[in-house]
Amino acid sequence: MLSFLLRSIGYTKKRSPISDFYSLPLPNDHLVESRLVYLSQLSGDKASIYSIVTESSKISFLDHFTLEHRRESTQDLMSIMRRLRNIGNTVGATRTYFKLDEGLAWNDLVCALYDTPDRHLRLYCIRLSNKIIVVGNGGPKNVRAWQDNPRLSREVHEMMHYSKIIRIRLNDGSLRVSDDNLKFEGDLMLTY
Amino acid sequence: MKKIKDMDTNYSSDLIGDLLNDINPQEGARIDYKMQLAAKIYAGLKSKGWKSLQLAEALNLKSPSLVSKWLSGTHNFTVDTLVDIQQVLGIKLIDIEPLENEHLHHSKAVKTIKK
Repeated sequence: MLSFLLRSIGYTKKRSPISDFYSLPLPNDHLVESRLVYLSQLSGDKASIYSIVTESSKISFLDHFTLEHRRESTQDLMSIMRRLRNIGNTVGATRTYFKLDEGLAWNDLVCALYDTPDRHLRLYCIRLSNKIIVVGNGGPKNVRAWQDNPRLSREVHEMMHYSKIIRIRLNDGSLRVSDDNLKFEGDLMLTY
Repeated sequence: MKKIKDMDTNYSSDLIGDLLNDINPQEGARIDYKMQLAAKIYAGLKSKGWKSLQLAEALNLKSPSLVSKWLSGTHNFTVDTLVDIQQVLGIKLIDIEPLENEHLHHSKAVKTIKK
């Protein structure tokens, strides 16, 4: 049954980092309607910053993150937004700005923007390349590992879930990267 | 209300806009400089074909994790650290041009006017 489903979404059995993912079961919440949105206030000619909106809320994950933490962590949020705008317009999404390998699978591309020193407001992302990132949600990280905090755990799993959908969709061609590698093209809906 | 499939791909929000606008110019410049210093150091590493470990070794650091902090774009560098890094990587991170006579004359002129 699984192999039939995989074939129906264009899965071919070539060996690549992405193909290893298709052996994993799909998450239970795959019916949530969601789509990628391009954050025009942060993106620029060095990198595109995307986030995700769901049908139930219609505001981006980054807005949810901001709403939740703006009272107690305004300075951190300002720093995060300024850094994201720098990534979009000046320096690009260089790997060193991110704490890589935050997800459980070696190839899920889930990472976190580095926290400002002595503060620990963590924003989880999917770093597709130097030119495209998808920002999610996060929270204060006051534990050694995100697995020790149910809220952070949920956010990381959510990004792993969307990372998987994005990479399946890139593989089947319904979602594409533009010729200049800067934008997503095609169907930005992530419902799967 | 619009379905998300009918939404514009370009998304902007007052929340993000307010945060970007409310940051004071000094703090904004500090963030920009930290990120650009990190970018210059990373470019210097790549042009030498080095990894963080080799920079850590060249500077006698105990661990390359400090280099990761430098490259994170959030580190508040000391002048000592910047001088050390630019020497081993052969790059310029602090630009100290000698004071030109023109500037000295200008300072003297200002003092004279003040008197």
